[in-house]
Amino acid sequence: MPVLEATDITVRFGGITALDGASLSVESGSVTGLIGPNGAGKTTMFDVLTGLTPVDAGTVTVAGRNVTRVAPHRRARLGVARTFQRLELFGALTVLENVECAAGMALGVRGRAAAASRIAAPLVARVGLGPVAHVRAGLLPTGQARLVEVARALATNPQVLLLDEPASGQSDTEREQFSRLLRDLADDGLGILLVEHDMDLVMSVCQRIVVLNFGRVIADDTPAAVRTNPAVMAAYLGTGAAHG
Amino acid sequence: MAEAVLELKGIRAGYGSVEVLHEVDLSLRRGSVLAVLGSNGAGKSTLLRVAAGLHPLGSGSVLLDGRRVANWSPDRLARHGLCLIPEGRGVFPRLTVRENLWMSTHLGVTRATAEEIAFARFPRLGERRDQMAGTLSGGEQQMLALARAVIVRPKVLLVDELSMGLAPQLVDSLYDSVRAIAADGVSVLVVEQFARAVLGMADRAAIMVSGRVVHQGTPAEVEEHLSSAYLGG
Amino acid sequence: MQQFFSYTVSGLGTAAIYAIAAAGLVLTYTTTGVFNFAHGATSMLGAFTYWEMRFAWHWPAPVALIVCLGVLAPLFGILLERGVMRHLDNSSETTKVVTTISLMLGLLGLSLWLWNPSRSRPFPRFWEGDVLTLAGVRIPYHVVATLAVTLLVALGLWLVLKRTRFGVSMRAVVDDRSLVALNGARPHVISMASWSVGTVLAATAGVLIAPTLKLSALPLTLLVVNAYAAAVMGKLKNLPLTFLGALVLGLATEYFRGYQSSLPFSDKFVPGFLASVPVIVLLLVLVLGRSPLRGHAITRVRETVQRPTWAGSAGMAVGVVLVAALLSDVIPRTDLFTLGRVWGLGIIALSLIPVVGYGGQLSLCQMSFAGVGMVMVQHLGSQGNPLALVAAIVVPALLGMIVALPSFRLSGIYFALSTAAFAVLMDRWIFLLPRFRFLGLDWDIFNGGSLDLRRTRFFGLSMEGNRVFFIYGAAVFALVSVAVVGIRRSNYGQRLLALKDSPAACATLGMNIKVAKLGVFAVSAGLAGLGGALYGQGMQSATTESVQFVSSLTLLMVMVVAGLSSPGAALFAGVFLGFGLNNVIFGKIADFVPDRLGWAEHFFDKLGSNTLIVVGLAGLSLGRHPDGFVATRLRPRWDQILARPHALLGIGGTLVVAYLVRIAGLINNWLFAIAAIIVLTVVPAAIVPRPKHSAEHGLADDGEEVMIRAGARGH
Repeated sequence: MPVLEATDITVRFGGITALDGASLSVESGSVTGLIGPNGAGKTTMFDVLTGLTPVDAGTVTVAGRNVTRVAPHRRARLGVARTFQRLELFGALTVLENVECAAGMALGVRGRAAAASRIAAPLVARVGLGPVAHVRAGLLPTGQARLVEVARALATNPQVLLLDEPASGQSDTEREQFSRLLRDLADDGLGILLVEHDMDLVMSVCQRIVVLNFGRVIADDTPAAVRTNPAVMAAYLGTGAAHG
Repeated sequence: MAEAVLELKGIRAGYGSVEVLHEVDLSLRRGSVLAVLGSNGAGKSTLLRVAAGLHPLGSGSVLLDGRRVANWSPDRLARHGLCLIPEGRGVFPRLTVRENLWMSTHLGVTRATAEEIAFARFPRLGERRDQMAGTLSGGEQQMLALARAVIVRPKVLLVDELSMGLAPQLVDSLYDSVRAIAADGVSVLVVEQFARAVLGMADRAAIMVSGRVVHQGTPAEVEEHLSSAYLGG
Repeated sequence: MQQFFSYTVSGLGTAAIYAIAAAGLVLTYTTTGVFNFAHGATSMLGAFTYWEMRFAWHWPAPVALIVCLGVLAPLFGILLERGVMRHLDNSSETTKVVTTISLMLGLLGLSLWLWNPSRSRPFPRFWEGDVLTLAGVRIPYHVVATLAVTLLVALGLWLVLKRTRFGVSMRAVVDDRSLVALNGARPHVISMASWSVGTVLAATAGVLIAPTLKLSALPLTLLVVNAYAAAVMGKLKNLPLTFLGALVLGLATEYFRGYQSSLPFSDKFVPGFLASVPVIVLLLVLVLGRSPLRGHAITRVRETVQRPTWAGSAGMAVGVVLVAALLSDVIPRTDLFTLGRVWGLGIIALSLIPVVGYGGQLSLCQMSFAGVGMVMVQHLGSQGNPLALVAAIVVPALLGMIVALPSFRLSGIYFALSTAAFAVLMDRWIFLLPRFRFLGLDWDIFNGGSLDLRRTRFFGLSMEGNRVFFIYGAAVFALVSVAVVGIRRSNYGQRLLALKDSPAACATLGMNIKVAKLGVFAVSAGLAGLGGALYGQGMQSATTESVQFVSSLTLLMVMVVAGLSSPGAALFAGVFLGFGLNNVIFGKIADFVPDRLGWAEHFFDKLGSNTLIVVGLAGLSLGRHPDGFVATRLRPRWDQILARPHALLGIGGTLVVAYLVRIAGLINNWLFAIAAIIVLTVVPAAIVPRPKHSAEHGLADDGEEVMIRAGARGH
């Protein structure tokens, strides 16, 4: 059973159909890529999966449980965590506080400060932010800021992690470390859904790739198969004109 | 070799602390069409926004007709013959089609001329002249956006992702209009993800990956590198 | 039927004026993104200027009208755009709101300066007494004129917006500001045009409504609250809907007024209710409106201040109590009475810290909560019963949760407006309700307009005396400030800061945002209630004026200027407003001005008696210090002093010597106070080099500083 599954999702904004019957699923212990041209509906899909955007049709399940009408904070407690393409850091707090705070939120009102800090410190070290743990998050460069979001999401002890362009703004060495982290997390049994523009990263870490275009899934296959899929190439390069 | 009408030299720019353009060099020859290709996130739109004065330039220089225009305001650049059709729909949705066209009068055209030229090129707009631009179809909105370029006949036309969210046939017919504008002697720099839509009309092409120009040359030379630039490998 | 027509006529007249005012508000908001809280103050200034020219200088009406509305108003609009609004282009919504609130206070202060409020200024209606009779309905000329002007305004706006390039460009700016620039238009010129049109509309509304409201600064300024309702009906962007909203409002008000005698309840409750109709409508539209209204951005008040430490805040708390105890010895008892209110105001100022400083929710009704706290003391604390203080915390806290409810659907400017509407509702209606019976009980909420507040007795220990009350107040302030720091350091405080920065992230991380918002409002309203109780007990008798909307705004502005997240700023706010620091400082300066400079003396005297203008001007400078003066300027210097024992010792020693000299009677209180202020502010500034940058680039700066210091040691 997939840890996260979206079936026939349709979302309309006014007259525009952002998602048009799109389905995808994420398995525990594997990395699934979600790619597609600009405006294909990737971030909308993330908002649907985390409950920030209501659906017009379709269902979302977490570990088999239907959560389509469940509020974002309850989904988080069921094990769905995400990062944001446009950074949503708690800029006034330090890196460590960001992660503690997230651990506390996931623990709910009963969350004890001590428990939260027990969770936070190792996570900050794990994503490689140990040296800047006490720096205010708002002062970090984008590459590190994205890692704070990852650590924060992990602090909620998720079953599935949704990453929205986590590598943009990272240097080459940071990317290298990051792809290693992704593989480690998957090995630990986490299900990961990855939206990313860096195709080398996507192709190297993902077991499956879902391709969206105009809000529809046009391919759901292995990286090698997606790379040679003519429909995918057409979606990226457009059809007609020179070579039809 | 024809002289450059728009030259971008060593452009660096970014958002906050993250740099998205790393020393980009491009030059647009007078009377030619240059296509800049690349997948999303490559920095193409940012490049055009920098050139049009909408995004601050980190370092480098922008030359329009040989004149240094870095850090000019967008309206000043517009008055000096630079015209950007921005990403998305470059129209005012709550203004009627005619009112949208009237905005060109800031560049010295009369209302009557503006309407006349636009409706002659795009008869469909004439039929919908008193409709709110927001209620037009996507293709019609792009026609309206392009109409500005037709009316003011700029020195340099920058077009950003005309194809976004449109059906392929529609994209082709829009680029036919761009081709016609270019044939009128306007130099055109077009940024596009859907490479095939523009390679046929371009005199030169370039591919951007992660904020750098990685290939430059004739459309045929560039085309070979497309697949790897878009899908890795 | 006859009656109905005549109510309709006056309703149309009122509606017309609301429409003009609201149209100006909507125009500037849509084209520039600045919601102008000072719109009403502009109306007021316009009305006063017209009155001056027409009735003081006896200019003919047409000339006065042309000069006022045709020349001065547009110029003022251009001045506003160039001087203030242009600099707000990239600032947060909070900074924009706060800046226009400062402008409002400043203009209010300016008018009190120029036009002595105790003088009466008759402002006859245009064509007073002339009546047009149409099919048996009597329509006063001034209503006809008002309607005609409104029609002209509507027609003129329509023509300008639809037919002229300027107008089309103004509407285009609403859709896409940068695309306008790409079309070659100069955005600032368009902004200037819309500010001048907005100002002309505001001034026109002011001149038209002044005769009905009497020429009085505050009611005229609050006219804008009525216009808010109409503007919000048009969702702050749709002009025809705004006009319709104004029509509904104007008619509703006049029908209520007309038919009040036939209403089922006693008419003595009605006047307050009538005045509140526009705010009630505003609240209803905001809360029940079809779609949630989201402001441009989350309200962000940047915080660059370090997390406060327990040691630091405990030190400050002990210091405050000690200094209060020492001062209570040297200050004359009569002055001690005046000073008693400092602590209450300080606590109300502290109550702003959790909600605005940490939580980023702009509350414009803190004084109303304080008023409820006072009411509790009045009714439950007549024997000095300490339980009254508990009620003064609990009841406002519950009320605070109700006020927070709209925040589930509203954000940014819309939520701020709902708190403003609540404050005005309390001012105009609830606090003014006469004695009535309800549920078998006698209710007399504000005791007929003036509360009589007994100071608390704790188990036989009375806080009645001025000296003991002063020290007790300081102790409560100190405790609350420690509590506020405790909130910041707790899990809950972290979550509030997190919520301010990103509600979306909080929700997806598992936080229940609604509970957090209710909680922070309950806490801060409760603290405000406690502060109100102490404030009232300090004064011993309180009027509704002390807790009105404008006082909330003034307190908020002083806090914003001083620094919204530091208890030290709250202390400053308490002293500044409670002690009339403004009056003291500028009054003293005036005393020192040589006699031959009479104008200068007069100037400083005026400045001293006009807190509003000082607060307003300080607030307008906010663009430069969005984090507040205390937090960004004074605190860093004190931090450096604390790191240098000899400097600290010197300052402390000087103060002790000054205190001893004062005790010995060698100098009077004034010299002592001045010496203390010099030692505490000027000396640190002189001996410590200015920090090179603000904490904004904290990381880099810290590194640099460390290196500089290390280098200095090396040599």
